[in-house]
Amino acid sequence: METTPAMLLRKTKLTETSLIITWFTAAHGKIKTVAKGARAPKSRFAGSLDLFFDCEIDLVRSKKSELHILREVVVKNAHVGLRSEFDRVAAAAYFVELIELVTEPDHPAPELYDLLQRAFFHLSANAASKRALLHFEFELARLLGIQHPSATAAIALGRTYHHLPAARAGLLKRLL
Amino acid sequence: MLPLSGTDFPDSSPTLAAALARGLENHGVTVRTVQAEGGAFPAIETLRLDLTGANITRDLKLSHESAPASAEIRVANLSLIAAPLLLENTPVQFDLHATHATLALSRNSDGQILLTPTSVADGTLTVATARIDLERLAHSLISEAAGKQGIQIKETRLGFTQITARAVGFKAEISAKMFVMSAKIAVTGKLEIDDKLEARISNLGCTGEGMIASAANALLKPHFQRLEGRTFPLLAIRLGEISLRDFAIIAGETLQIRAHFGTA
Repeated sequence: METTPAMLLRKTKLTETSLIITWFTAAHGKIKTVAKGARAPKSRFAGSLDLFFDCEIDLVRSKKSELHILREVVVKNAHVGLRSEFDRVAAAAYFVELIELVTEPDHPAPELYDLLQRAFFHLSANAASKRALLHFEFELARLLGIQHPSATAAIALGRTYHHLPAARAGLLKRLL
Repeated sequence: MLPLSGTDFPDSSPTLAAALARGLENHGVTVRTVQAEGGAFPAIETLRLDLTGANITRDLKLSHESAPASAEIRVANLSLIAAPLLLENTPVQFDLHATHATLALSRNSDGQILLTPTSVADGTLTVATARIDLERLAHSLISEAAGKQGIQIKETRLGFTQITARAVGFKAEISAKMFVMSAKIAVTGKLEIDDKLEARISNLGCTGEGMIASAANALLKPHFQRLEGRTFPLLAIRLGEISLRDFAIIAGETLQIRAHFGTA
């Protein structure tokens, strides 16, 4: 059993009662766990598995696959402020999609973990803004070592990873 | 108001039929047939317009008369049918029949001639469209609006429930995706139709699970407030002295509007 701080990136239905949860952890980078019984009415995970939650998780690592078993979740910060406006939620989801794009499973990236956590704290306390979005992209490109003075961070990320999330343009239009 | 082409009022049944066909085609509405037969003009025994296959979009704007009627045409049997026409690419069956109708000839501010019904002895109207076609239309319109916000609509399911003879409830269940977020939300409301054949939308609400539904609700609330209680004319023509005698909207796998009308 391992314990690690983790941010919840994605939830996917596995069966009628179980979920696959994608986490961004401080110790292992991006990992996937099965939350058995999470969709059942009286699940022990009830209320503790939602997007962008900052948690401490206990997991049993699988020796055969990249899908580990989630045992316990303690919510450390639900980022309530982040959930108060559609634009904040959309910006957080965009940051998560970028993190998913640039990371590999089971590959620690403590600087990126810190960047995403700071972004969530920012969106919990402040309205989403174009400035914040561009700042995140810049910091991400800088930490990845792909930022170039002659190009924007978005161009650098797009060139390196071959695309950016399609909904980025719509989000940028919404933000001031 | 039905637009007529040309600068002079028609002086015979054939010129009226030709002016009606060209007038509608000038507005992008393709007419399958126009028949104006029998009687001694300006009295006509039968005037029949068939708009089957016509494609009507929300861009169609029919103007209203700006000057009083200059002449009138009396039609013993008037019919306007489409089996179906396409409204925003959605098949709609349209069937209007009226007896002893009077149609005024007047002009709009641009001098274009218009034909406007002013009285009928007795008439019936049936408009019907399949729920599945409305569902497709709703999906297309919602996808267009959501796409501008970067939201991808995966699926839309539309259902109706009968509330009264003139009111139906509707529920649109929408599966949406934006970045890593997927959500199912349900938009509900009530559609009522009044004596002027105007639709009123009310009781708009949004429900769904979790944070995304709450965020969607907050996003949609100002739009709902703008729509709440607003009325939309169902017909592009003014009814004038013509009033509804009986009316029903029937919800099911086909959404149907049936009206019986006439001049008091």
